[in-house]
Amino acid sequence: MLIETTDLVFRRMAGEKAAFELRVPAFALARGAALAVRGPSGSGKSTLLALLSGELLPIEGEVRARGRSLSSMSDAERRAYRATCVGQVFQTFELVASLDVLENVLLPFRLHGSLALDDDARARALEQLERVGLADKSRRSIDRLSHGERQRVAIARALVTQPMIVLADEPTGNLDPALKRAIAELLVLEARAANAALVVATHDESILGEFTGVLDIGSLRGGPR
Amino acid sequence: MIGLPRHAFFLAIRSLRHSWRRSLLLALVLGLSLGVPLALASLLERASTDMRARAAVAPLVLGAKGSESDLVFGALFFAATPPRGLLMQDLARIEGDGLGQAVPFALGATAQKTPVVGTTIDNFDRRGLRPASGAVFATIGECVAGAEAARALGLAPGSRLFTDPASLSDLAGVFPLELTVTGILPPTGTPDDGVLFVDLRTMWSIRGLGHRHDDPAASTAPGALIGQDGERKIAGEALPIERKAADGIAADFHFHGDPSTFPIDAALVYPADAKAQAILLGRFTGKDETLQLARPDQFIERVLERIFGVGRVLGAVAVATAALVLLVAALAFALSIRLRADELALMRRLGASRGRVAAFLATEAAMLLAIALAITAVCALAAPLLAPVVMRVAAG
Repeated sequence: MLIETTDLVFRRMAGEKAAFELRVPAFALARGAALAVRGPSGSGKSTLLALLSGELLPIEGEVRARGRSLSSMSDAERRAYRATCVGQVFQTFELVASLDVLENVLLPFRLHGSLALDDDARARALEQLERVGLADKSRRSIDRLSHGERQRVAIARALVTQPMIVLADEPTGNLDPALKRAIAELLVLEARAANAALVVATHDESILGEFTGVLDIGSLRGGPR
Repeated sequence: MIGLPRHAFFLAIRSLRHSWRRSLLLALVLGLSLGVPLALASLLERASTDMRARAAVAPLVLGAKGSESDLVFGALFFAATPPRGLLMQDLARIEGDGLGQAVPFALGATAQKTPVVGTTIDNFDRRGLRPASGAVFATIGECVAGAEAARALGLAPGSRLFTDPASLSDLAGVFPLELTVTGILPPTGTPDDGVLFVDLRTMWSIRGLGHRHDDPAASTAPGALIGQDGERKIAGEALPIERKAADGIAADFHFHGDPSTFPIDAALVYPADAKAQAILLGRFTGKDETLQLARPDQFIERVLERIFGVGRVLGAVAVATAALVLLVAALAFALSIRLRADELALMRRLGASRGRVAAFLATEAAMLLAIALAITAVCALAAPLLAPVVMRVAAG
């Protein structure tokens, strides 16, 4: 398995009290899996993605990537894991306005020393842009793209490092209804083509049909739902 | 880490270019706030060097009693009109008993708005001035051009130009006189560069004290001869006055009156020795004395003291302003970082370390500072070019 978790507990404290607690049952992801994490706003979907990327650590249980616990890694190792093994897509696209489309796709290579920005990387970025239908807009400013196009750029950026897992946090949340299905389909298709596992946090019922599994989580102040 | 500087420069350039108006404004404000105090210091330094060097041209300056400032700035910088009242015969009080040499100067005329300075050949000999091309003037109507004046007016040896009339309404006074350029001085970086030097007799001719005309009796102009007293012919107003001294007719110029009583404006005085200087200085201190003998070096030091006093106040204000601007610029940069919090958070989420993100921001700040320092350097380097302006302001 690429990713395995035991039962996870994450708690955010406010002083002495737990302001937020998330409990997630154990699950595992193989290559090509597409898991939708469903739950209402504030239920902890984004927190689960942060646990899978190693940004946050559970207080109970553990996330294992290729058999190694993220909790046992140093900060630097977790950053390297995040840079090289995880692709991320966000609700608000999170593109850098000062960079053009191609430069945004190549951004991960500038952020971590273990990724080399070489000719292969550039060729892969152009190929990825072609796959998401933006080959002819590689030098265009982000400001001149539609929301749908921006999310396509974000998907290309998430896959350009050939990650083993893609985490998408409400990737269709800022899109028109007509675009939601198209983007969800593209995400699933591209992750599968890259042989990566995909985890998408969403509360959008209309796109659930695209996924191979659905994990329901609830917001808990007083325990799991 | 090898690629870090490359990526940091790339992202910094992209960010600065993306918000180029903000970047440019910030760099300009920073650059100017740092540049103004430096420029002021550099300008005053250059101006003081130039003024001290010029003051060293002659130990003493002789002129009519009145404003010492007008005398020194007029005689040495050609930037003021010395007090009137000095005559050629007054130079005998310097040279009569061998205490020193006096080199006369007469000012006040222009040719195509360039100052014309009347002097003698001694001015060139005494100061070792030699034309870079051509020769020093030899007779009435010839001139030697300073390097900058020659460049501005497009003059070369053999060029001709007319002096300017004193005023359009002054029909009975100064008329234009044609000058022939005989030589061009090399650039000296001094006020000599911007003037036309002529013989003292040429200046007197410009002032209407000397002229050339035909024999009134031989003139065909009606009313050219209105009477005769023995050998002396009395010319009428109808006799044409020749204003050209060129083409070998300069020798026909003549002056009405005794040249020793003709006016000059100042004289550079070169005492024979220190004792002679002391005697000369004492000679012009009498209560009823109509002349003054100024020491340019001491005068310039007093002027510089005043200028530097003002400069120190301005400098302190500029430094305080620069410190304030630096603080505001730092706050503006910090604010811009806050506005880019999402972008920086994204970098962290994609795997960048805090150090790497800090390196990106530091590179951007360093590049902004480099642009600002370039502007500062331009200010500091360009400021000395304004030194002549300071000199003119000092001359009032």
